[in-house]
Amino acid sequence: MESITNSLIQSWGITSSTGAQLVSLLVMLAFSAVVLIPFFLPFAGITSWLERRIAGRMQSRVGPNINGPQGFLQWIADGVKAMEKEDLMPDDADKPLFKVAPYFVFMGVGATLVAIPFSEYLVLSDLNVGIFYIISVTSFVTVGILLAGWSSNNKWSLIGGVRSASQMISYEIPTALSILTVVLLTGSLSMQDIVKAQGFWPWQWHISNNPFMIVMFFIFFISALAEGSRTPFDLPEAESELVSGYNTEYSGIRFAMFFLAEWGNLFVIGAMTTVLFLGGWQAPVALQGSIWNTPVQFIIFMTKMSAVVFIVIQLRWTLPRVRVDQLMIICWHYFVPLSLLSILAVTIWMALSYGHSALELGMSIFSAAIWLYFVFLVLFRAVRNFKKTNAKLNLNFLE
Amino acid sequence: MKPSELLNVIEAEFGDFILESSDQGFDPYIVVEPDALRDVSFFLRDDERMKFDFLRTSLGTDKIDFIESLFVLYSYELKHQLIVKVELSHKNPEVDTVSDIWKAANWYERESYDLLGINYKDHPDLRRLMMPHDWVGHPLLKDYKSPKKYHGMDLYRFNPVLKVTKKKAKKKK
Amino acid sequence: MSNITEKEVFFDEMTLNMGPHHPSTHGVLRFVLKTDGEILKTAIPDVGFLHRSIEKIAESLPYPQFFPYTDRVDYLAAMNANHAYAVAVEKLLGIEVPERAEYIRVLVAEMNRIASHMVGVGSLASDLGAFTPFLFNLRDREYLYDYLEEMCGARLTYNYLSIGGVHRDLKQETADKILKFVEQGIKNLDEFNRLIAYNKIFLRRLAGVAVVNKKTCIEYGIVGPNLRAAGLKYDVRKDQPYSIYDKLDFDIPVGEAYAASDGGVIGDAYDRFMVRIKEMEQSYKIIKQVLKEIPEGEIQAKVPRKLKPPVGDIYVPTESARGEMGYYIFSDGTDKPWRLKIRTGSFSAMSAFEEISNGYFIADLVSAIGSFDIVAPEVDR
Repeated sequence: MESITNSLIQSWGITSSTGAQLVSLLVMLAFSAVVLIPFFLPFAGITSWLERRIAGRMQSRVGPNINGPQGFLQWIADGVKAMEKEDLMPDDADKPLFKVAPYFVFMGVGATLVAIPFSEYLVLSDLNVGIFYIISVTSFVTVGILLAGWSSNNKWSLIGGVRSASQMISYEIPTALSILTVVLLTGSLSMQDIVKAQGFWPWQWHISNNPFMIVMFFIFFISALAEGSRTPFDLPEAESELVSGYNTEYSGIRFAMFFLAEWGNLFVIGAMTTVLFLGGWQAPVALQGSIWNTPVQFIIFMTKMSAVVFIVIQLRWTLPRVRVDQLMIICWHYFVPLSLLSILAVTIWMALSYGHSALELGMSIFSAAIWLYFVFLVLFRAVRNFKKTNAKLNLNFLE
Repeated sequence: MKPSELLNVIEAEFGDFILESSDQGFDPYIVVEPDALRDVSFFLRDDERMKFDFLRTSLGTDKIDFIESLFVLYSYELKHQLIVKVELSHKNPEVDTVSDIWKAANWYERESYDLLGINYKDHPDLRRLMMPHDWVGHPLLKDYKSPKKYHGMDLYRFNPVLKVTKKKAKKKK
Repeated sequence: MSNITEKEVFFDEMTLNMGPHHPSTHGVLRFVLKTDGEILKTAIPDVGFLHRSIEKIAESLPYPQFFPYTDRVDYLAAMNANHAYAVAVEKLLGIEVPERAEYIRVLVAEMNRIASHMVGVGSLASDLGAFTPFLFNLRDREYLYDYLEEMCGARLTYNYLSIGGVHRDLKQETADKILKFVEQGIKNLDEFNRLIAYNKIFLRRLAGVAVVNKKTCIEYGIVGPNLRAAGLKYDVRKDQPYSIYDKLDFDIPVGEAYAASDGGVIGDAYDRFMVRIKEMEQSYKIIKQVLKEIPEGEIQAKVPRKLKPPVGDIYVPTESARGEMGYYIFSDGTDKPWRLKIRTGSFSAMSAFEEISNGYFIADLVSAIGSFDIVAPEVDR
């Protein structure tokens, strides 16, 4: 970001310091206007449309298809509807907290966008503690959900809020530990540096640095699901258990904010996974180093991210929910020890392979082969099951 | 065991307390003296020849002269069925509970208490089951008249058809 | 419940109201939960929200006119409730039903049993958070409802059976369609199983949860699939056969600790789920047989215009989707029953909840309710 402002300042020939500050401020504001308002909101909206269409396909039904081509504008209609609805508030609610809670959640998700690199130059601020920043900012979501659960003055909401707090605090540990391995590999906390340490080809990604990184990838991915409270870890808002958890008493735009945050979170999960493990925006070498390659890099980033989001959505509509005690057992009995072990293994591997680039490359190709085999296995099983049932997506399978 | 043998065994055991018994109808049944109900019930459940372990259903009926409380028993092992009836007076419909003998009777007795006002002595939790807890009267009694209002809510809907027919009837007169 | 004493606060006991409009209390049930955090101490059921005094209404209606009300006793398996009432009244009156009508009755009853179990197992899955299997089952149920609609003109509350027969004949065209669906239905059931029944999370959620052993089942009079899941091989269709069930060849699936690999025991929630799935397979088998063997002939017996049964009382059990459904009818010799009592499976399952809900998580109560397949109007009537 600074490089863009600097180049602008130079090209416009501004020399005074106040002028330079003004320009950088304007660019920053413009960028946040460009990215946050018409980018983040639509992204959350489009994710919601995507989720509903995919869910519809998976469940042999149609999904939203009226507003716009393929129902693409459904999210706008939903947003407008939510805005027009009455903002209900329970009589005995803690009113200031009740009002402020959705903003906390929304902010916690929205603020992560600041540090996410969409391309080599398209990043709002390449903080040198970027990954730290994201971890700490997402904690706002926990605070917001806990506030919402507490202030609603509803026991179901309270259980939802407390569940959420315990879940997110627990899963923060495996998440942070798996991020730590990536930081170890990179030697930097900056998001851009993490991406730059990887390459375009699958064996250059962090996931295929060594087999233990695949383990870390799974731990990170599942923990991120738990932190974003997506199925199978959607206990805080378990619809059939806690009515709707922390957002039971909310309505109108405040309710919509929770859901925007949820879908935004989906986006953040995808972006984080892509940046940390899947090579981020990395394009072939020929398409790097210039600001004009931004669209290509952006498309590469979005493709990877969409794939992750797609998997998350598919999981959401396939798996049942785990129980509270099982959730904690998964975290404390399996993930925490496993990630500690993996950190140790990754460190040892780094020490052993230091300076042996051929060894590193060989191991990378080996582990890339492992995870590509898993991907192939999943696809193979999907196709086989599909054939076994002889199911057609068409609703009139008898005709 | 055949119904006739079954009834013979029970009558041999509780001769005086069995007021009536028959296997001529659809199902064999016995009518028991209310005071002896618990003894008979224990016998029916625990005796080797009876083994009535499954209480199929239990209900009460308003027979104008008396209120009848009955239960249908079945034995999973010996595969025979028996209906046990108790006749109670309208003034004081009171009988010993069997809910500790067959746990299934618990809710059936609550239902009978609710809808017919039969008072089961020593029942652990004799509350209304279907009707609201502050409801007056027992709806399945034959002389029951529903109240017009409950907590200010109308219990009868305005029926326009009925009004027209009444008017026509008046005009004809 | 209202006055919280100091003791309760001290022991961290929280009173929670689950229902009557809670998403996983199918219909309108209410539980008063005493919990310690997430762990249940007791769940006291509070029923009666759907009490429509059907038994009182029966006393003022002639026998044939009560049929539409039997549909409303159990809206998911209305045909079975129809059948139960028809069998009871016919036995009271001593009417012989033509054989073709009996075959059609069994056909529709089994179709409705499948439809009901589809909702039962599907909603259990959706209670645990997996929504897709539920919709898969609803999709298949639509076909069954379409065929039932072709046969009797209604999709949910049929009023199809009459005393002494059925109202309309089965067309060959419909029979062919049903046969075709059965082939696909078995495949779709397999798809459903692969999607959810062998899912590890699902297994872990249900294995060893809400265990009701054989003794408790018999004590509380729990019937039907719930009883069979506890290991007792008892089915009214086999043990006290009515209609033409004694001519048909089918098995009775019982609980065998299907989830034993994940710590399941006989009579847990997963067994109840699996027994329903296996029962659907058996019902498909019955439908195939019925469609193969159905004879030509009359569909309605000669029945007097005004039905006047002899004085007496009768209890006739039948096997509905939720277990034994029996009508106890007192007849006083007139054309209206003196007293009519409906014995349903959900009622007895519900009465056992206070005892079996001890010490589980709130989430387990949800799966317990789902696994018992309780339908609220059947409890309250």
